[in-house]
Amino acid sequence: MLFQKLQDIFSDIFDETPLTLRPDLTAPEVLGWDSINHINLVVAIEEAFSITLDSQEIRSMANVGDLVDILKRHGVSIEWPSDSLAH
Amino acid sequence: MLVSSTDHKIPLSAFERLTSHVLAHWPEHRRFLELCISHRSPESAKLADHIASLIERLADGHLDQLVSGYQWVCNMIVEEELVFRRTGRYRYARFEEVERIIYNNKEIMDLYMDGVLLSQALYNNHLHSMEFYINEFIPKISSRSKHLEIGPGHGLFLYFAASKIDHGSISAWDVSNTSLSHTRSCLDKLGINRPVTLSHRNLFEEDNFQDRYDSIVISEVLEHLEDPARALNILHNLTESGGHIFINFPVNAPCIDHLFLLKSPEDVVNLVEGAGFTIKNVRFSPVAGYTLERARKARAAVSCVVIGQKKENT
Repeated sequence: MLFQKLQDIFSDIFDETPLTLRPDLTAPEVLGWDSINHINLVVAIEEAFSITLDSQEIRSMANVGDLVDILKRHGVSIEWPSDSLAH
Repeated sequence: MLVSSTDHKIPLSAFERLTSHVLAHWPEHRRFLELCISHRSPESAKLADHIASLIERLADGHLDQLVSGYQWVCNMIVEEELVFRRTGRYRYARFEEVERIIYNNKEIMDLYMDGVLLSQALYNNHLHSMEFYINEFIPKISSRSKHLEIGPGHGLFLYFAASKIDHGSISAWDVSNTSLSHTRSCLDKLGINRPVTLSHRNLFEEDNFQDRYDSIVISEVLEHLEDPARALNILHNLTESGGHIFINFPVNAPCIDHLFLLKSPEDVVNLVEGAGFTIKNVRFSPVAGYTLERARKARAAVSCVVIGQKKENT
């Protein structure tokens, strides 16, 4: 399931932080989500889904919801679990 | 501390003026700057303030221009990090590529040089490297030293050396006449009155080993070369017996014109030892927000400063 794949990528990059993805989750809320790990996250997502994001897309994502929207534009449709939308 | 441009109830320090100016133009940069200053020691903060005051002198009323350059450098580093993490390599490997694309482009070079100058006060790894230079290397220079710097850039390292060397000589070499003109202008603005000889010389074309220097500085130059080991061998020959060298070589530090990738601080130490220097002291400074251990694991940039000494009677 694509959502779980994305969740696993986040867990791997931010391995010291228990993390549940939700659309409005932002970098300041996640320990270790700095500019370097943002790029590590992007590269891991690119490799996992066989896509390439451009610089504007990488800079423009303000939260995980934006990331999911960008992935959809690249043909990767991730459906949010119903409980993640209740935040 | 970081202040907004309207918080002018008490006089601001030079560092506060500088960061206030940066944030007025680039408010999104606040989080990074807060990260930089959050764990600075009082001594580091004092040095940052001193450097900020020197930057104000060098800006000569054009701080906006320097801030634009700084923002360009920060954004450029993000682009290069992306290349680095996708490929495991720096973007370019050949000097002729960066010469054509970067060094021959005045607009890019102006932004780059301006941005690097501000980073000396703002980036923790740059500040701590300068702190190590002042506290550990400058005391090793005598007032009669014959001193050489390779690639003097904005002149800040020369500025601190000049404060120590009264009776010796100070020289600096660069392959670019444009860069040397820039250095001369910086030295004038910094008020360095003693003679400093700036020469257009290429280290790889040096065969005059009659010249030897008591102290040599090469900071953030070696990673721009295709063959830093060869450069260090030449510098070893140029060092007087018992003389000292200060080397700053950042690892895992993607930048538009960085060519030679080293992946660990130990690689830098080995390189310096391989040239024949005895290691006297080292400092490894990771980028803001990282411990050295975490930087190693994350392959985040680390400024690796090594002070080496040439053996006596060699």
